[in-house]
Amino acid sequence: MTDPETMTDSRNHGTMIFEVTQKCNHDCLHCYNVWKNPAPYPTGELGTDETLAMLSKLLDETGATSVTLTGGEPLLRKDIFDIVDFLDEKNVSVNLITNGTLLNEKTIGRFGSKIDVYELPLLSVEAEIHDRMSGSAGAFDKVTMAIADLKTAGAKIVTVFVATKLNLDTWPETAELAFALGVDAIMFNRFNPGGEGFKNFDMLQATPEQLSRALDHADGFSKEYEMPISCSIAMPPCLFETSKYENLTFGFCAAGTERAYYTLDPLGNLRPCNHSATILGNIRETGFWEMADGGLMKDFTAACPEFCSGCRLERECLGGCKAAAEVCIGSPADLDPFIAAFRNEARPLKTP
Amino acid sequence: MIHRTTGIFIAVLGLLVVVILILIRFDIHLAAKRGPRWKRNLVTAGILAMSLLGLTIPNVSCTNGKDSTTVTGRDGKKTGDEGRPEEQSHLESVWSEATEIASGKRGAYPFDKKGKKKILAELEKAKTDIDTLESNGTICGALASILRKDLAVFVVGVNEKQPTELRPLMCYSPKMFLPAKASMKRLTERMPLLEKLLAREKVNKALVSKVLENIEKEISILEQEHYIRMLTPDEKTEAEELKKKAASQIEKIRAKLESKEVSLKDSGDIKTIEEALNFAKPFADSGKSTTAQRKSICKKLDEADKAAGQLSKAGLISIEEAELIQTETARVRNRVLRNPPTDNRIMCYDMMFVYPSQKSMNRISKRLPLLKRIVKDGKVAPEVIKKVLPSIEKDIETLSSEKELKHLQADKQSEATSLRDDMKKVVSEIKNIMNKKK
Repeated sequence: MTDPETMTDSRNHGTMIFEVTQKCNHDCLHCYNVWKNPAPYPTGELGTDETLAMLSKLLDETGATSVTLTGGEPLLRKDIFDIVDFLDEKNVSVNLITNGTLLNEKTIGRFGSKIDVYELPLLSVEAEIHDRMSGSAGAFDKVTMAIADLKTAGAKIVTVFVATKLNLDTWPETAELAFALGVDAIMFNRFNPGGEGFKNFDMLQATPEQLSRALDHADGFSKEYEMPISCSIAMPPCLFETSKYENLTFGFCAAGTERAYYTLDPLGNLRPCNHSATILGNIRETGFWEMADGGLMKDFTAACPEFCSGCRLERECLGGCKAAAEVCIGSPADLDPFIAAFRNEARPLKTP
Repeated sequence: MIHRTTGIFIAVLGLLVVVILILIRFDIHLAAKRGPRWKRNLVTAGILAMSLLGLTIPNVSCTNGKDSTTVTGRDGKKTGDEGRPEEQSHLESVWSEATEIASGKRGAYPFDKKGKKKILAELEKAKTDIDTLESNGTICGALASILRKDLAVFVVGVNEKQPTELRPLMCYSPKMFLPAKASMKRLTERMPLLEKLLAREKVNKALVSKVLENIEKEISILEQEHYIRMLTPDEKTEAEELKKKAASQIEKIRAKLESKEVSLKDSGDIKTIEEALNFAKPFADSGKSTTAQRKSICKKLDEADKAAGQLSKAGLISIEEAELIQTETARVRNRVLRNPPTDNRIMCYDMMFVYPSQKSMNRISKRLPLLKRIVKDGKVAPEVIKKVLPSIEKDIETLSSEKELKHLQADKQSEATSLRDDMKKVVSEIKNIMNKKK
């Protein structure tokens, strides 16, 4: 709420995502980065001082207590340690999403306890598949060794399995590898087209049946090995019987809610999430709440496909991933391309 | 070492004394500071026990029960507050906060990041408070010992709680973690998977070595007193068993890593076995050997037994094949030792004579189950089978001889022929398997 005397907004928004750089040393087939979309997107990054000033403004205005650093590949940014140190001094919890290829004992030691959670990709137990999906030879060996080094340092680790046609058959053994390496949790994220991934849709998109089989395994695995597994990319209930999976956690689009993960790009442009290319404004020029409350965000939040009208989970699911719909079809009010591709199998849930 | 029960007894007794003093309206804070040392310790123990139970100490009126009016000094402080050690006040306040946090009374996210750092710093200071209070005689050694152990438990309990910044979010952030304490069971479950992946050549040697080091490190943390202390007797037994299992699994995987690059026929261990049997053979055949030669032979055969165990641990041969080798070395050893040493001057050397048919029967009965299991698994290491097959066939030959069988008692003869026939069948099956492998 705006304080009339100071004209400041006293509301808080807990979590932010900050894309520290657009540079990357991988060339993932499934990459969703918005600067790889067909439509042009601003590129570049600010210097260290400007970046820290921008982050300071963001933290002041939002009261955010958790920031996830991502990219591109964050460790390609030379001042990444300065950014982490700055956030730690502000008592902000820092998560780091990295492909792990630039992590070693030295860099891990430098981060120390300032990183709360490391998120790394583990795309397959087969090195060839992981390397192929990453677009980088040797990526598998590097990321598995990085995980082992992080474990030695006592870090908390989440591995991300991006489920595609290329690697889905190897999911059971990949989960076993993650467990054997000692990771703390696994994200099982279905391929969500956008960026580079948009061009590779046919090559990568698995069927609902293939994904369901993997979910069946994941549910049992999570129970047997007490391994937390979450499906953070929306698994539309019209295609998946998500209620039967007692041991998995499912996420839906949080845009516009108190749990939204607004994303800041390296130039200060704010977006509803890291999959969406909609720029709400620039934090350096405009207040956060002005953008979060603005018309663009309202339109994004309210958008829901016609297909979902009448489904009892319409307001929770909101048609899957709006960002993917926006990138692949044209508007957040369009149907998630995954649902669109398997429309004939989708069954919107009726009110009992 | 002071028994914990003694400390608890002192605290309970002190509690009773304090309750009585309160009831008779005696100034307990003064009582904790005056009088003989045993009395001061007892009253202080009682005061702290009351704090631990979460009971506040009522504002007690002045001395000797004569006057119920509270005396207030010129500085405005009540007499009861005067001179109480600062460390004691600090300890009491930290104790009550840590109890609420560690017990879960304040929920899974009882503080923010800053708050967690603060309470951990206070608990660190509490260690010094206990030391100071013990050294100046405010508390006795028994109570200090109890407090230190409980403090360690509090530190663990506080560390296991997460700050509010890590409260799980609905979307994009992962479902958050189990409590920090890694279970021994989880560690031992990791290893079979690691072994399986190693066998399928999915992971490289350097990575597996590193993971094993991490597992050993985690196991060593769980051996620390303040973790073990929280287990029930049954859980402690289970933890001990799991530790042994983990150690054996680690050894097995490490052995596999060592042998991973080497095939059976090129391995040092199979060469050790071959050399030992080849060395012993002439002495076994002749039955003649000196004391020094016997010592050397036995040493080599011991090494061969050990090498068979190593090969089995490394997974290059099965357990049954390792045991077969060991029955073969035992056979050779017995043949070497069947006569007295040639340099032995003692004339009378009694030996109980055992007929060859009996020896063959004994050997076949030991070897038959092992070979049956090998046939059942369908996995044969030809290098091993070729070592033991000649002596097995020799035993079959012995039990096929009417002359030799007659040395056995009638009921043993039918048992011997049955064993012989079974062994013939199994040998034929093993030869088939070996031929198919070629």
